Amino acid sequence: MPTLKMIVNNEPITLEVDALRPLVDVLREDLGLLGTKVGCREGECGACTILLDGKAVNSCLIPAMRAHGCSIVTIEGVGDVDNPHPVQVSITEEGGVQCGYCTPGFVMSAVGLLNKSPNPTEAEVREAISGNLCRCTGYNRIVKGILKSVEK
Amino acid sequence: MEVKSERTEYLFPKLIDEACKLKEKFGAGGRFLAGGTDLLLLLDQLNEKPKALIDINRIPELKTFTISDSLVTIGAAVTYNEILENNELCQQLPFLEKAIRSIGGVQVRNMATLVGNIANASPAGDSLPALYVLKAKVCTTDGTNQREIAIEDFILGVRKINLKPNELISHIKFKLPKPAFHGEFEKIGLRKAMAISLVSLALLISLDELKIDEIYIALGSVAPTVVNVGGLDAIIGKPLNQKTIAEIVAIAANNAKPIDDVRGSAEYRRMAITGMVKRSLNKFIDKN
Amino acid sequence: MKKKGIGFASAWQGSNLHFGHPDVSTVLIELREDQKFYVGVAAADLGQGIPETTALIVSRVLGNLPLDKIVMIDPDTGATPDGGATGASRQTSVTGNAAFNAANNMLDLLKSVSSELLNTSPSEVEFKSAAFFNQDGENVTLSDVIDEAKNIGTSLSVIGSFKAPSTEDLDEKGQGYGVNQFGYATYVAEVEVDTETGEVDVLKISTFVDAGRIIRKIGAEMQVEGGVTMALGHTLTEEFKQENGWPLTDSFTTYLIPSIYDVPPEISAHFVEEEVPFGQLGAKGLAELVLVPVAPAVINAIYDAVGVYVTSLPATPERVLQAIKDQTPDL
Repeated sequence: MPTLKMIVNNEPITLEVDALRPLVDVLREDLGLLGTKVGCREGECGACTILLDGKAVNSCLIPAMRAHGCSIVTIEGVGDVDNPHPVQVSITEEGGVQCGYCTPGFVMSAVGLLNKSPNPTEAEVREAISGNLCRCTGYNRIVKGILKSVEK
Repeated sequence: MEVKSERTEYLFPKLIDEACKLKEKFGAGGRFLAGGTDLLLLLDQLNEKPKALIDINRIPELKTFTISDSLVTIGAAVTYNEILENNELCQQLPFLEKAIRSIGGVQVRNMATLVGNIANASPAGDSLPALYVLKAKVCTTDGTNQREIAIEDFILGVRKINLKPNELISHIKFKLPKPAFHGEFEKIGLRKAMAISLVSLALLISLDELKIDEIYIALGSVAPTVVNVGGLDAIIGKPLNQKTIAEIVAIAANNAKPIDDVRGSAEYRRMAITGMVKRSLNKFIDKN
Repeated sequence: MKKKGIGFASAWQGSNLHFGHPDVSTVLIELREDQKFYVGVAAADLGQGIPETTALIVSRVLGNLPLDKIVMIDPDTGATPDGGATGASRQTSVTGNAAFNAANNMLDLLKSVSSELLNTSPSEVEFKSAAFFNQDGENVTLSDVIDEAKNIGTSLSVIGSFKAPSTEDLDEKGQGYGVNQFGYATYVAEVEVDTETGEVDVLKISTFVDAGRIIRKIGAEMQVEGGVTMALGHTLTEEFKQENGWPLTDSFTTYLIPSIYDVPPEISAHFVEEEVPFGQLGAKGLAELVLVPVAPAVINAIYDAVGVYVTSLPATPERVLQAIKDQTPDL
């Protein structure tokens, strides 16, 4: 099997993978990073969003070897309960979380936007998360949360 | 029992020539991958396991993206978002920007490439109508020989393209239209983000003393390939008013051969073309 | 051409178990060594926030006890009392009242134990700022009460239950006391319709909801916004299609739930806090109610804009345009 070398959340990783295996499965099953969710496996819902070399991408659409030599950030590399990212804090405060399944994907899309554009407009925030689906919240509180995290 | 499963090789050529040689070596068992956002789904659909994926993202030449003397050149590995980040192109061609922005979500546009939309040859490829009216040329290479093919001659049918087994699309190119031109892109989907087009339209028009000087319309999702609307010569020289718009609508509708599918009926698509042609031309009138 | 329209719709929707099914919830509260109140009820949280709501009710009964003094035990019917199904918009109403009762039982127990230490009668004890006071202003702490409970061999563990008024199955004529509680809502939808493509933009939804007393306002607002969004899906985009029994819309690419651009940037929630007929909490359920008026309000708004009624959902561009063409064949 091909050898995949990549940096995941600042840690170098080397593993043997099937080249065609979706990256999301490698992250979840081989590396135990269960924060990245699988919603649709067709790039439609954004629950599997990660950063690949700083940019938000759907990890369900990426054959694992595509990440060879790349740097990856998953939700685990962004923040956790004890040390949350400002985006996580603000989305929660604004009520942008209900069942929570889509939330890691939204946070990753927001972090991808903030990497590129640290002071985004509301329209930019809306566009940045337009590739993420949420069944519970109605989106507006997520938008407010992301904007609030920037004001802080 | 021993199960022998053929593993897929994953290859990172650094040069175009190298990529083409690999393709030749693996033949039909080798597949190029650029953005790759359609590839896993496609392989799944076709129940196909390629011998090799040839990842062309690390070929520097294919990342070429230049605008020089009004000639735009976009390499095969240039992503949608890299195009959207180019202010010059977006200012010159807001309708192309709008078309690209309507494709997928940010995550898809960070991976997927404009050339991939051509190679995929779906009638619902949302960048395609704009590339048709811009008369884009598709440039292919087998490492030694290059070809340059008009986009409407390159895309032959649903998922059928004019590409030889050992060839690679290296880039596309098109001329920026003269400043007198105005472009529009319209798309109707069943929802407002991440929707596959029911119908899409690109329009490029220029006036000379309020009379139509040149006009090009391309329609998506209404035939096996994007349709370059033919027969528009008949309205050259006419003033752009509601009467002419009605004529253009009739010509456009005649060019479409929509079908019924899970997203909508042929009947609706025909009606929607009418609405979209009117809407896009009226927007142009309002701007003048 | 784009035309704007406004539509109204009102709805009522029963909550709690109907037609003779007993509707009961039980909540456990324990004061433990760490001076925190552990609250247990097997009431599943689907994202609606029943743990937060339950904690808030307990806090209010216990003299606005800080929320960090309340620990919600994860719901598990093997380890916590049964709160019943999360359905029928019933948890805030039924488990909420059970939590209210349990917290009052806990308060009575604590007053009883502390009254011994304060040399007064339980009814004279006041619990505030996590301490117990007698009429002379003398006080003992939670820690003192925990120690005293050990001394006298009393468990600082209570349960509280609530049973919603019994309902009955309807008779042959469809009459009877089948539902013990209704919520009411009136919505205003503002839309813009493209008369030549049938596309509908929902510009704004304003909601006016009577769900009794609102316990946790942000939670109620979140339910309204989420419910409106889900209902906009079945109103405009979500359609389950099948052919010979096979689903054609078997993925997120073909079965379309609303994206961010399908939801108006403004969904306002206004609450009309009417008294409820039973229970001391005053709250009714609203989870399902908040979906109901969306489709008729939007369809009425489309009618206001273009003068035609779309009579099957979802109101896709195709159905809207077809309705317009049917009405005005010459268009």
